[in-house]
Amino acid sequence: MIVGRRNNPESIRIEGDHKTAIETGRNRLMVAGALFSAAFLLIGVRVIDVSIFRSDSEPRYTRGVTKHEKNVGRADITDRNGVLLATSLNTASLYANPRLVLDPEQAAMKLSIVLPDIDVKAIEKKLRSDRGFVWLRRHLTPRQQYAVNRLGIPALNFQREERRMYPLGPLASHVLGYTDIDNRGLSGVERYFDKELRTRQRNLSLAIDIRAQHVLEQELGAAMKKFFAIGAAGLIMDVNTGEIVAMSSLPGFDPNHPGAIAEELRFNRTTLGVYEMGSTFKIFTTAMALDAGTVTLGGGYDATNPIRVARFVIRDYHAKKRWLSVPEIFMYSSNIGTVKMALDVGIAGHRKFLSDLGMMKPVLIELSETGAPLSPNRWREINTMTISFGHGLAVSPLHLVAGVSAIVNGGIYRSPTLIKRDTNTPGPGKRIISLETSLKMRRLMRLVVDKGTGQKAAAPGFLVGGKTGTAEKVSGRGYHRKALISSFVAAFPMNKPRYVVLAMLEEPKGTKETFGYATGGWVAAPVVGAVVRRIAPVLGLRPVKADEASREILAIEVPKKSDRERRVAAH
Amino acid sequence: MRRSTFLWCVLGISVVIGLFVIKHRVQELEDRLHTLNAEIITDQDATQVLQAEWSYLNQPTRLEALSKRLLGMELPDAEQNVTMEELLRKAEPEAGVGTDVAQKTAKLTPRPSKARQKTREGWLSPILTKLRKSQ
Repeated sequence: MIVGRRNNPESIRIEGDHKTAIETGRNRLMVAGALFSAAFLLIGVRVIDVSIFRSDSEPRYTRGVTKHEKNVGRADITDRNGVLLATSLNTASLYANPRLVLDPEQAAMKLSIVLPDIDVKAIEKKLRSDRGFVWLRRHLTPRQQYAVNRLGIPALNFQREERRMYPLGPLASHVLGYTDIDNRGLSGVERYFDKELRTRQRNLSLAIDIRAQHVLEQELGAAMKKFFAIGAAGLIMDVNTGEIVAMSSLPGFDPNHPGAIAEELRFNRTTLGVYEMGSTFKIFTTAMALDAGTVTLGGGYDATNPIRVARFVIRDYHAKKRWLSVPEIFMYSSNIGTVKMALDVGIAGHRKFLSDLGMMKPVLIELSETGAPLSPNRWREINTMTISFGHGLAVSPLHLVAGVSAIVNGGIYRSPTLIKRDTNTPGPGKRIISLETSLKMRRLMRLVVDKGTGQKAAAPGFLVGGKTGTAEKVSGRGYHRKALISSFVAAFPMNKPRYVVLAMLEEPKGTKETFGYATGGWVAAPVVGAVVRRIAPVLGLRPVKADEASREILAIEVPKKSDRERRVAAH
Repeated sequence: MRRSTFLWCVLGISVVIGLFVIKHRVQELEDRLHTLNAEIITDQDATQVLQAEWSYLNQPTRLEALSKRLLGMELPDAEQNVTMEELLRKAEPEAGVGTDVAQKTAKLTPRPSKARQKTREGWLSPILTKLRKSQ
């Protein structure tokens, strides 16, 4: 730029046309410079904007991975030893945005090549619809996903989804339950803990021991087949902690295919089904009478004549027609003796005792499928009489097992649970009977297996004690003679009971081997024996050797017994 | 005046370069984070699948069938259920050398077949001798 210097007289002065030309040039330069600097400023601002204030209009990744995505999913369910029972696997599900489909017919054709089992017409109709989102196929295999991707149809996309998987198949199906396609729990613990499983990241540890569960299901299944039973139920409960170690209701189902489960297979016989359990209830009657002190182990009742009350006659299945001591009444499962025992305690006492054992309301357990017991509206003398030997009060097998646990564990009722307890210390319970009565009951139950109706439940070394039960199923107003509920409830080892085992068969038919009998002692007791023999070593119990003193402790004096009477057909 | 202008220019340019480098590195790190996250998810999926498979392969029914067929295992009876100490105590009085111990154990476990008796001796005797040595 040329600037005139005023203080220098010899300076060149430019005037006239020249001056205007230079002025114009300078102005133009100024304008151009301003334009350029404005442009640079704009670029600078944009650079700052891009580099510092990041815009979301253009994502850097086609699919972002967030921390949240890593942890989604339904929590796993494991057994008490950490064996995986239910888990969620990630799969891809195919969806489309029909508005973006160029040629629905061709797209449907192409899809049917890679997914041969789809309905082309239905897919085409879906693709023609005027919606922004349609599911085409849920849960593709990785191979199918790859194949669909390769088709290169622009409107198709995949949604990461998870699918519930039960690696052990039908094992413990009634405990676990199942979920629908959107992973909502529909039955079992999946339903009961639905919210927790959805939100909680910690896995759910059940009290179930899958090894015991397997043995129970296998033995029950074999017995069911052998005796042509229509169903079976089995339970194993830890008497000290209340944990359910195995729970089986047969026939079971495969929770991996929730759509294919027939309605009747979903029925959980152990918790939802209520049955008149029959003679196993004599455990409660006898314990109650011994605890109330109305009779002692040395005492007894006359069981010569059947009892007539109203239009009923109560008689013994294998009548001895003589005076029977309490151990004999229990061992031979005498109805007459048991009725007299209950009447001595009284109606109110009987009712209160059973209600304390939880027989009047549904069992509190972590399942939605719990059945309410069917108890008489008005409890009269006749009700006490029949309920004393297990008729007229229908309870679930779980009720029975929880009750028997309380009788043998020292007299404390603990609510059964399907969830593994963190500590070994037993939770608080409710005392039902005294420790002495419990000890007496252990001996009586041992006697049944040693010499009475439950001899087929014997497991050498594990001191099984139990009680048989056979009830006729209610049909209409009366009882069905041929349709039986045969059960056996046992505890072992009887010197210090750890577990209660129940096996129950619904409508078993007698076979040649059992001489046509389908009673508890013939069909259910062998199941319990086999289960105990197989699971006791697995559960860490050591067999008691025959010569050990603990066997002697369990021995009981039975007055008036003869060899002939020992060979009683099981009832 | 000129020097300070020059200094400002240098400072400005170096800040711009620095910003560019940092920005670039942040982007690289972001890419890496993204890749790692994606890998974590892939690996998690894989672990989950493997766990399910492990559980599937460990189905009690399957294990039972396999051990029966391939290992010739049977249900043990009460007599066979002993601790190592009991086994040693029973074997102690007459057993002098390893083979005697094995013979004794063969007596303790009733009715094993000939072939199985051999295998049992095979695996049991080294354990027994080791236990005896440690005592």
